[in-house]
Amino acid sequence: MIRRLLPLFIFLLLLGFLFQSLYNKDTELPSPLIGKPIPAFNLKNLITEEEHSSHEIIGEVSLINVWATWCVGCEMEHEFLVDLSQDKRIDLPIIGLNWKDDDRLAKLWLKQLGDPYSIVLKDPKGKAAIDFGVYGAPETFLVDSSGIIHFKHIGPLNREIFERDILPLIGELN
Amino acid sequence: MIPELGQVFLVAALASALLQFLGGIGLFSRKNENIEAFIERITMFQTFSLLICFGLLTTAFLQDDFSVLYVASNSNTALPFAYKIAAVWGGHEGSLLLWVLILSIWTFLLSKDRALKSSPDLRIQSLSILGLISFGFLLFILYTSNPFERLLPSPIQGRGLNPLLQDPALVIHPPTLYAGYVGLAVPFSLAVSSLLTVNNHQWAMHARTWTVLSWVFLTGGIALGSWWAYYELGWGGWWFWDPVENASLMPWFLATALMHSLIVTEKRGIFNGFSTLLAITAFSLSLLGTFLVRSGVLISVHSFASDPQRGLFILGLLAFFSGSALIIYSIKQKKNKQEKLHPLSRESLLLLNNVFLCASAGLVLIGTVYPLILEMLDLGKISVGPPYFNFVILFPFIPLLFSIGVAVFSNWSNDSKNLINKVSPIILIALMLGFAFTFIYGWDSLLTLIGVFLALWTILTGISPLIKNRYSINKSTNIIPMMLGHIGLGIMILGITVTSSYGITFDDSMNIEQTSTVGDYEFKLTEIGKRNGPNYLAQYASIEISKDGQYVETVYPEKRVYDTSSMPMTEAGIEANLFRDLFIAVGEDIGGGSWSMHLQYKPLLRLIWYGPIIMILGGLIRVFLGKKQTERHQ
Repeated sequence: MIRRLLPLFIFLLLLGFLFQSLYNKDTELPSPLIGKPIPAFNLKNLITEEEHSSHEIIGEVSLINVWATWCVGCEMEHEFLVDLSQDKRIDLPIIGLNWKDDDRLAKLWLKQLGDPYSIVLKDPKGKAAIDFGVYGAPETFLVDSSGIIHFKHIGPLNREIFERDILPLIGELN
Repeated sequence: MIPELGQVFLVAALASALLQFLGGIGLFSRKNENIEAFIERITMFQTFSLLICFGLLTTAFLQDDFSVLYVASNSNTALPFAYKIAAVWGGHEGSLLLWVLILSIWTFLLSKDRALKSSPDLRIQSLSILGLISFGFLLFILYTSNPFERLLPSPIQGRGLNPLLQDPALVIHPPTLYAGYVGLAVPFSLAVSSLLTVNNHQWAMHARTWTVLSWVFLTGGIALGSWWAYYELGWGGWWFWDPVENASLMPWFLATALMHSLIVTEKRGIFNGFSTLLAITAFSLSLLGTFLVRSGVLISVHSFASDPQRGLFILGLLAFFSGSALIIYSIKQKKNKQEKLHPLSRESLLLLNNVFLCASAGLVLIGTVYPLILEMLDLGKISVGPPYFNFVILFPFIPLLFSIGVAVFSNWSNDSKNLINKVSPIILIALMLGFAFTFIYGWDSLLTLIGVFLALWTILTGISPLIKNRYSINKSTNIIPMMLGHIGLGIMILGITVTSSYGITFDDSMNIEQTSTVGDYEFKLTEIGKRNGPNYLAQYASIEISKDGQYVETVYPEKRVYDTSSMPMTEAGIEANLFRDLFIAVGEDIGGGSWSMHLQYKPLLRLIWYGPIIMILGGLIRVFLGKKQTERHQ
């Protein structure tokens, strides 16, 4: 009898999980890293080939933007990033994390479309991106002066999202 | 007027589904002949009503009737004719209507099954259960997902069909897959009705042909989906372990297991409980698949519609149908006949293989719902990716493939004598060929050798009955389908192994007249241009492929921007023959006349789809022969 009831129990268990999952309203994957310091890394600068550790790049409230030339969403958000970097009212350095990309293509891209980044680090094998929990470019993280992650946005960034989700946080952090 | 008429027929179908169920449980008459006559008629009426519904919805699409919400959200005037028809099942509401239509067609066909008429109790109960399933889903449609809902005031133009779906393979992929999913309702209903009535293994004989037929559709649907993903999603992959793909793979594993388990149950009268359980789980996983796709609980490239209310409703249906089937199973299932199983008899080996198949389904299920479970236990959100699946699936599959070959040589009932003597020459041949193969293609890894060996082993053991019987195949129902099934599987495994091990992917930036080399092939970009499609604007590249200075072919990969969506779609340029695919996708304009290009060399890729075609052929032959055989028995 017990053996014959086993499938039913497994099924009920599964059903419970599925039921619960329906009521998990936030279908956006929040990063488990929120409220935690950025993962440690050593990455080369795309332009100068100098190596930087994660400690060196923090120090002020900044954005970390994961991008690649092969990513369509990155192209969509790029203009906004350039605007943002030139906006005198908002002092917000953008750190680029060039993900699984070809150096030559990445440099060309920045030359053609403009370079909004204060520094671009490259992660050709995607190792640092794994620590960041990146699962698709573009992704953008808001980091405070001590390197704690406060917000993560998945997908192309635009002014509306920036002003709604990120700008108020910057005010609090400064 | 058309949508209102559709509504009427939808309600008529709902009512007849309910009557089909009530009639089956003997509410109107206790006499079997009366019930059967009633059910036959009501089944036909239900199918007829749903056909009309579907026809009316199609008409609304062809007339660009944007006063119908569903039409306005999934079509527009610029959509080409064929895609207006495909758009009927391009969205949530229409695909559910297709789901119940297919269910009613299966039900209708089952009611025409002549062999089943010899077991009236089984027949009545299974048709009655199918009526209840149909009723549940029709209620779901009317309550949450009515395709005939009006949109007033109606817009002048519709939103258009998701460009990803505007593709010939996608026109037939969903109906094929649905036919497979829904077809599993037939063995399910037969298994449950057997538990409720005669409670013996007689149902296995009736369920076999139906199981094979739905398996054929499932195989076709999955293969088509993979084919579509390969050339449409743009990056040259052919399987992504996407939750929705997994949702179709799990029932496939179980349907395959069921197909084989039914052979034993029919022939020897054993494993009846296991077959019953497989029939129940296979259909439950189809329902689970429907739930995963339609509720949006999992993030996927496929999640079109997400609405918690709909999810809840489907979950309710799943809970009701599978739950009650499992309860009936636990109460009614009789203890298996105690019989000594010889470990190397065919039935033992088939049982072993079925356990491997169930394990595969289980591992895929765990990977698919694991993120949900973690999230619920508040352990954070994660996504389980291809590395997990590619790794764990090896554990059941390596022994499975080996034991498939052994099973072919085994005998029923007894430990097969000289089994080692029989299989060792073939193992040796397969190993030698495997070494020769890895020698030609170059050594890659032990895993590659194992994969190639197992593929060749499966193919050779599949062919072996031909040699054993000195090239004359007796007309037994099972042997030719078995051979084709196994050969097809081996061919597919060969394709998977070789493509994954020896494929080359290369991203490059190219200027006009510049050449890029991948493997033995040179790709030369000769032109970049623009062209207008019926409802899109395309940027195309012209790429000349050559090998050792010899011209091979020119391909034209494109990047399309559809009128209705700003998201560009990739149409890859593919040059293919039996031995390799060359795959080119256009990337971005990176300025200075330079374009990024995604180039791939994929050896033996086609086998991944040729294999399933052979398997399907085997299945179809089985359906055809099986039908003739059961009719002769009458």
